[in-house]
This record gives sequence, structure tokens and C-alpha cells, in this order.
Amino acid sequence: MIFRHLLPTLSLIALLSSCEKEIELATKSNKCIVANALITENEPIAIRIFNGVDYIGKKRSELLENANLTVYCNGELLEEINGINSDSSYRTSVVPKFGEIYSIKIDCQHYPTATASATVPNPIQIKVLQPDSVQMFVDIDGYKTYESSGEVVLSVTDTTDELRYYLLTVTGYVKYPGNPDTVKYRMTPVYNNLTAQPASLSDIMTHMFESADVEHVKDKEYILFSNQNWQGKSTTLRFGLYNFSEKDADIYVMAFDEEYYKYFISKELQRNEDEESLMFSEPVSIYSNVKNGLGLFAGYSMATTKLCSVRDTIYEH
Amino acid sequence: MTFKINKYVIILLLLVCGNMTMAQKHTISGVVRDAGSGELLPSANVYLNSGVGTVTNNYGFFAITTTHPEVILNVSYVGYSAYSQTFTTTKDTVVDIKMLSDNQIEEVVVTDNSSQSRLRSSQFNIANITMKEVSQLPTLLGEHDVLKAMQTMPGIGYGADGMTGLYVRGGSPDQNLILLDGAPVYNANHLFGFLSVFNAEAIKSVSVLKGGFPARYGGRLSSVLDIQMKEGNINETHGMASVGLLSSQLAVEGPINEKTSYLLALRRAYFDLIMWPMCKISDIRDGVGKSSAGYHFTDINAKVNHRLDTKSQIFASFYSGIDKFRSKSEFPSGGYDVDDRFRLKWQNQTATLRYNLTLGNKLFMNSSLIYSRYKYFTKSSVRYDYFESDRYEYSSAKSESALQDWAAKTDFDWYPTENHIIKTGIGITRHRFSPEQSAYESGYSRNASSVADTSYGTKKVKSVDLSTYIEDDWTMTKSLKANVGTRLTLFNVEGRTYTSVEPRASLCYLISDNLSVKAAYSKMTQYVHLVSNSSVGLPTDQWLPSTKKIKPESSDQISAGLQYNSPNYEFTAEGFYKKMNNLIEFREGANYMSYQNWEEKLTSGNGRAYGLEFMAKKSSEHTTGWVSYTLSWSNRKFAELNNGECFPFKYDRRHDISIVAMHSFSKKFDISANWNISSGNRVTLPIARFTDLDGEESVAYSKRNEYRMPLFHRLDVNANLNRPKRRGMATWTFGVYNLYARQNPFYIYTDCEKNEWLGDCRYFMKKVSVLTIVPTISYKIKF
Repeated sequence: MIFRHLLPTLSLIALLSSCEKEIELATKSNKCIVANALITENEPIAIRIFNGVDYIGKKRSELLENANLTVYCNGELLEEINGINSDSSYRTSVVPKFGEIYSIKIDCQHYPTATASATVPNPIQIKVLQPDSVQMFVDIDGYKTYESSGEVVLSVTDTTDELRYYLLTVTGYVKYPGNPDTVKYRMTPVYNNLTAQPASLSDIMTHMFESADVEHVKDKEYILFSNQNWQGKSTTLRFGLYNFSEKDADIYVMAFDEEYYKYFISKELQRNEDEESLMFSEPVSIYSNVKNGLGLFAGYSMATTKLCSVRDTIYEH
Repeated sequence: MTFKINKYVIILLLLVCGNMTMAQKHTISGVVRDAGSGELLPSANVYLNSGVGTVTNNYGFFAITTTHPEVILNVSYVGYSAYSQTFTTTKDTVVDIKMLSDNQIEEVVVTDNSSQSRLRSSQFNIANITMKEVSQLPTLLGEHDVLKAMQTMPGIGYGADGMTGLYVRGGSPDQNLILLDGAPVYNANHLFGFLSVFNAEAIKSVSVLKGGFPARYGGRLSSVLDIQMKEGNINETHGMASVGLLSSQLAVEGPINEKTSYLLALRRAYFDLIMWPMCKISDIRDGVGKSSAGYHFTDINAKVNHRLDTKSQIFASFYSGIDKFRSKSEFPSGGYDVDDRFRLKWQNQTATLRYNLTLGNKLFMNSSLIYSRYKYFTKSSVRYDYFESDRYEYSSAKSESALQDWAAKTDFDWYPTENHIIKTGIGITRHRFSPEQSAYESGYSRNASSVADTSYGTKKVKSVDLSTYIEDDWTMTKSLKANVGTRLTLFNVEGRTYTSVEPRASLCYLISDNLSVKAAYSKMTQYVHLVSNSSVGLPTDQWLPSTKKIKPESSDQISAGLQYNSPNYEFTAEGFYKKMNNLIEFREGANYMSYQNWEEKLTSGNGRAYGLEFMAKKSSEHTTGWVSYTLSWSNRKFAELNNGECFPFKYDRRHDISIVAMHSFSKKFDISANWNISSGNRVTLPIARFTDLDGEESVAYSKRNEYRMPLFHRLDVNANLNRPKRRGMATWTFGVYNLYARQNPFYIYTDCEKNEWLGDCRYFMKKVSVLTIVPTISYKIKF
């Protein structure tokens, strides 16, 4: 008879015996300098300097306005900057050149001195082949349909013997009735499962899909590839273009080194993390190349070309 | 490679053959069994008055060769009265020794003679625990668990609090070869890892080897957990029935005829029965829709043992365990009905058909056919059925993974002289891996033709594992024993064949009658890997083979130790150093949930673990207990993880102490307690927030596993009240798991508390604890 009450009570206690509680783990203080800059040729170096704060608490990462920035080129002093520009960055008066090594040293009271180095990579050369292969479908009223698509064939020429990474994006322009402004938007370039591709392109794709780091970019608005198998050579890149609109579009190919590549990938991986998955996987830190600090100081160069010859097709419902 | 194989084989043959004396001798051989049940007793200590001795093998067989015409044969086994018989013989003799257990005689002085045999054995690095001890230890929800009992031994750690996973000498759970009657068990977890699949009522013996592996064992880096099921009582029918908070059990064993016995044990958990009324109450309270959810597991252990004649015996054993979780909810929402369902199922099956034959008096053969399968299946579906139209939306996703083994092996134990026991054998295993097979269905009308079905998944992989070994248990002098051997393995997968030569050696030197010193070396190779990045034993963890891309894991371990025995006490101290190569881990950011080829998610690296283990054990008539302490380090180094820097293993516990005590006040009342205290698990924590290159707030994490969770400790207590019944014994068990409600962190997560008014956010860390004070009550009746 006693178990009439005891058993349900014990069962309930067992089921409810889990709990959660806020805890404090003694972690080291992580007050540090955060330096962020992407440098390219013929543009002044503009560095945004913040503070990094301990994860636990309310403090926010804020701009550091009283830092001393020293810039070196190939180890020689180039410039010293005290104070921020109107765009909240520490800006140099000199501009970088391809191939030079630029180093920065940042001093700020109460923070350890942070340093970093970067080089501006040589740009890639690009050219659209078969420019009429992109089709735009419009309905009977002249409006673009969702299925607008096509294939872009791009000749790319690498100009370095070093490992480089490239990020390809396509920007379209659209004019809406009643709106005088042209609206820019990102299109979705994707790899097609094409046959009879040049060997060099196969190499790119093989590298793309063998690398777990970049597998997830398939559905993004960019294509990321490297020159691993065609350093200093030309190759052909084919990709699909969905949701194409109007006739004009710009193709951008950004060249960068491994530092930015690591940042880019880690940023993407951290974006994909959520609370639930953290229980089952190791968290990803945003890559940083700033010694004694956080952030990224890296170089890039941009190549661009227009995709303007498009074969129109009227699609009737 | 050919040179290496030849070298090892020649050295071994020279060692074996060069020391065999060819004088005319006679042999006493036979089996040792329990007098009451007829169960064969493995590892019983058999020795002659001349000092020559051996232990029974896994099937209770022994053979001792002597030149003396008159000898006294002594047999001892823990929990049994010592057996002694004088033989006057000039020819080979076969005996069938029946040991009386302490339950079968009125007065018995229980002395743990097995510790004396361990003192003299070259094999060490072994954790032994008797099933009687397992049945007395405190339990979680009344379930006696051999894996949790093993976690109280030195060198054997646990993962998250309350879980059954074994972390042996810095290794991960997939590095443990878990054998149930010789068949590998790939997922030994029930209840998402809180309980093991092994029903203590069906188990005869269990032991864990942590190092100094004899050549007959292979396939995993860190340990061999050898579990033998009972054969079934050959003399009379007995049974057991129990009711606990979590499950009920029924076990029956007995003779079919004078040569055949059987065992059948069933266990079923009934969380589903508890959850059913809860769901109904919830439905009534909400007044909208219907919901149901349930979880249960079922175990079936069965074994038939048939003695063909005095020299041969055949066994067939079978295990099937299945876990099922399901949830279903039906409710109206707007203009449609929603039907949401989820199912999760995982299943282990093993079967062993074994044939034992004694050839002459000196050769024992064991041939086995083995089958093992692990499978999980999950399906979720949702359906929207619109009230006033034919519109109907349906989508479902299902995923399954499976691993199936077929194996055949033959082992020989040969007792050529009094100083040698040669063990050799050959085995072949065919694995079939089916990882991550998924399918997605969707439809927009009741017309079946509109349903899109997309099946995708990774390729199925078949592999063949061939192994052969030879080892010699060699008594070199009265004080010096050795076990030397080598194992050769070939693993064929995807057209590639990996080979491995694994030398093994262990030495024991008896300094005095009470003190021995031991040392061992072993190389191990592992061709199957568990892909898991959770601390809980999720059924979705996947076993995968070595492939062209993923090389086999291997380890080299050296260990040394001291053992001291005194009446009722046993002290051991052991040290080890283990180097592990080609370990696999998930790449940063990858986890089993991402849809990606499994080979691409993994990266490989190396590891090393080292440490010291101490144990003091007391065994007396009324009190048994032990104190174990492990001081250890376990690190990993992967080129693609933690910037290529060395980092601690997640379960790198610096200190781990277990104190176990069991005391019988009388035959009617006994109590037990287990207190464990250990360093917390390692963890990677978010340490800083900063503005990144894209102007967004990002998180910087510590180095991998840089921090340690708070100290783990927990006290479990148990009391058994035995009441003799007319036809057996009834036992009430009362216990409390985590008596003082210690909130050990199960995992840690971070969160932020937003202040809408101020627009700021307070970041903090939280620990989630489970099993904080869990009372237990169960009732068992034996007949």
C-alpha cells in the first residue's frame, strides 16, 4: 500500500532532478587590442582599432581613439598616426603597392602592444567568354521570372607563383517602375554539373569539393576557389547564374592570401553555429593574425569585368 | 614488411621451441565448474603442490603437466571453497572439478585466491570485478551496470556525469573492444548512454584489459572488455524476476536435458508507460489536439549450452537490444490540421555459435561463428491537412546508419610442457558499413504521384579484416613469467590493404611470495572508428572504417607495475605511457549533423597519455571495498586543430579517486557506498567579444580544451534487504544516486540576457546538471 504514493513520488523526483545554474569559471582576462583592415593597392591603409572585452559581462567592444599606430613597409618606418579619421579609422597618407610587406604596431594605454603584417596580392585577370550564354526569362508582361538563368564562362589568369584564394561575386542592377534609382543586388553564382570541362577547371572543382572548409559555400552568393593547381597560369571557370535580371551585371573576383581566407572560412563557420550544435561540436574561433590582440590585417586586390551581352527570351505563360 | 614478419615469427619460435623440454611427462587436464549450476569458471587458479600452476581459460579448461607420480591438485576461485585432491597417476588424467560456492556450504572462509594468481601472472593492467560485487554496488534507478562498476577501477574514467562510456588510459570509448561472448558490441548504450546494454542477470564474468594485451586480442587501442554470458544451470531450474523504477526483468535458466542447459533473460524499460498519462493530462489541460511520447528499451539475452561428449561442447548465444523513442502530436492550427511525428530507434544484435573441443589432453580448440549488427533509424514527418480544400502538404526526412559484421575464428590453447601455454588462432571478419543513408519526401496533394522522394547518402563500404596470432605464456623460472606473442592483421578496404604486425610482451618477476613486479609492451591497431563529437552516447554516433583517406589508428603502450598481496588485502601500483597515431576528430566547425561526406569532416592527428594508477582492495567475509586513484595526462596534437598546437583531451582528468565499500551485516542485510571525486572535464570556452573585420560582434574562444569544468564528486548509497522465501529469496533494494545532490556539470553553455530598455546584453555561462539526487527502489525475487 505504501508504494501507491511512494512510486509516483520517486519517479517524479527522478525525472525532475535535472537543473541548470549560472556559473563562473575563472578565465584569464582578455582585454586586448582589436585591429581590422583590408589593404589594397593605391588606397590608404585604413585601420579600425577596437578593444576586445571579456566574454562574460555587459561590456561592449568599442573604438579605441587614443591608440598610437606605427606603420612599416618592408621593416622600415613608414608613418606614425595618433588619432582617428572622420570615418573612425586610423588612416595612412601613403598608399600600399603590390608585393610589399606592410606591418603595423599599435600601442594603447592599459592594453598589450599588438602587431600584424600583410601583403597586397597581385590581382587576377578575368575575361568573360561566350558572353551570350546567359538567358533572361521574362513573362508576357515583360517582368523577369524566377527561372532566369544561364551559364557564364570566364577566363581567369593567375599572375603569381604563390597560393592565392579568389572570391567571385556577381552584382546585378535592376530598375523598378516608379523608382528612378538603380538597385544593386547580389546574384547567386553556382557551379553547374557540366561535362567536358577543361582539365584545369576540374582541378579547381576537385579542390573545392575535397576541401571540407569550403563545401558549405555551394549555396552562397559567391564562389570561392584557389589557384592550387594553376598557379601563374590561365584557366576557364564556368558557373551558373540564377535569378539574373536586366542586362547588365558586374563580375568581381577578389584575390587574397591565406590570412583572409582563414578569416573568411572561420567567420562562415561561426555564423553557421547555433546553440544546439555547440553541445555536439567544438566551437570555431574567428581567425586572427594580430599578435597579442585580435582582428585581421590582410591584403586583397580586385578584378572586375562587365557581363552585358545577354540573350533575351520571352517566356509566355 | 616481409622482413619484419619473418623476424618476429622466428624470434617467437626460437623462444617457444628452444625452451621446451621433451622429457616423458603426464598431464592432468579438465574443466573447473560451479557445483551448483555447472557453469564453467574462467580464470580459476589451478596449481600443484610442486608449485607449478596455471589458470583456467575462458571456457574453464586447464592442463598441467608434471613428472611427479603423486601430486596434490589445488583449485581456488574467489567466493568458492578451495578444492584439493591427490592424484597418483602415471598417465594423462582428465578431471571435471566442481567447486562449491560460499552459498552452497555452511561455513567458508572467503579468501581471494584469484588475487594470488594475479600476483604470479604476467598479465596485469587488468580490472576485475565479480558479478557479486556488481550486484552489491549502488545503482542508478536500480539497474546494475557492469560498465559503471568498471568506472570505479583505476585507469578507467567516465565521460559526462552518469554516463556509461569508458575512457581507458586517456583513450576514447571507441578504442574499447567490447565483447559479449566474443561478439563485438558497437553501441553499448541504453537511455542515450545513461545505462549499458548488459543485463547483469545474464552475465557470468567481466574483465577489462587496459594494457599489456596478449596477442589474442586486437582491433582497438585502449582496452578489451570481455563479457561472458552465463551458460545456464545444468542441474536445476532457477529464475529471477525484478521490478524497478526504470525497468522490469525476468531471467530463467535450467536444464533441457542432462547435457543441455539454457538461459533466457528479458528486460524492458517503461518510460513510455510513465509518459503516457503525463501526455494525456497535458492534452486535457490544453484542450487542443492530442499528443503522445514514449521511450523504452528491451533486451533479450539467450544462450543454449550442449555438451556433446566429455571432450566437446557447443554454445549458441544471442543478444538483441532495441531502444525506441517516439513522439506524435496532432492539433488544429488556423485552417488546417497538423500531424507532427518523430521516431528514433537503435538496435544491437549479436549472435555467437561456439564449438569447444579438447584434442588429447593438451590441446583445446575453440571455434566461433560470430554475427554483430548495429543500426539506428530516425524519421520525422509533418503533415498539414487543409479543412476546406484538397490541399495537403507533407514532408518527411529519414536517416539510418548500420554496421554489420560476420566473423569466423578458431583459437587453440596448447599446453605442451609445464612451462608453456601456447595460444594461437586465426580469424576473419567481414564488415559492412552503411553510414548516413538519408531520404527526404515531400508532397503537395493527396495524389501519391506528386510526392518527391530524394534519397541521398554516402557510399556503403565493405571491408575484410584478417588476423592471426601466436602467444606463449611462459614460466621461465619459479619467479619469472612472461607472455610473449605477436599478432598479424590485414585489413582490406576499397581495394587497399593495410597490414600490421603487433608485437606483445609482458613480464612478471616474483620478488617474494607477496610481491611481484611487472612490465609490458603492446602495439595495437584499430581499423574501425567511431565518429562522435558529443559526450553522450548518442545513437547517431557512427562507426566508420579506415579508408584510402583515413589511415588505421595505432598505439604503442608500455606499462610497469607492482603488486603486493597480504591476507585479505591487495595493493597495486601501475604506470603507463601510451602513444596513439592517426586518431581522428571532426574538423573545426564540422559535426555529425552537417550534410557532408563523412570523410571530409574528419582530420587526423596523434595523441599521448601517461599516468599512474593505484589501488588498494580489501576482501573479507563481510566487508569488501577498494580505493582507486588515477593520476594521468592525455593530450592530442592535430595539424588542423588548435593551430597545430598540442591540446588536452576532453576527458583529460588529472585526478580520479573512487572509494567503494560493501558490508554485509548478515545474510539478510547489506549496504554499499561509492564515492567518486575527480577533476572536471576539459572544455573550450568563449573568452572574449570583439568587433571583427565585418563590423560585427564576434566571439573569440580559448585554446581547445584550455579550461576545466568544476570538480566532479558524487556519493551513491545502496541497501539490500534479503528475505528468505519458501522457494527462494526476495530482495528489496533501496538506494540513492548522488546522495548529497551535487550539481556536476553535464555540459556548459553560454547565453545572453537582453535588456530591451538599455539595449545592452549581459553574457553569462550556465551549467546543466543531471541526476541530482535520484532515489531508487526495486524488488527482486529469486527462485
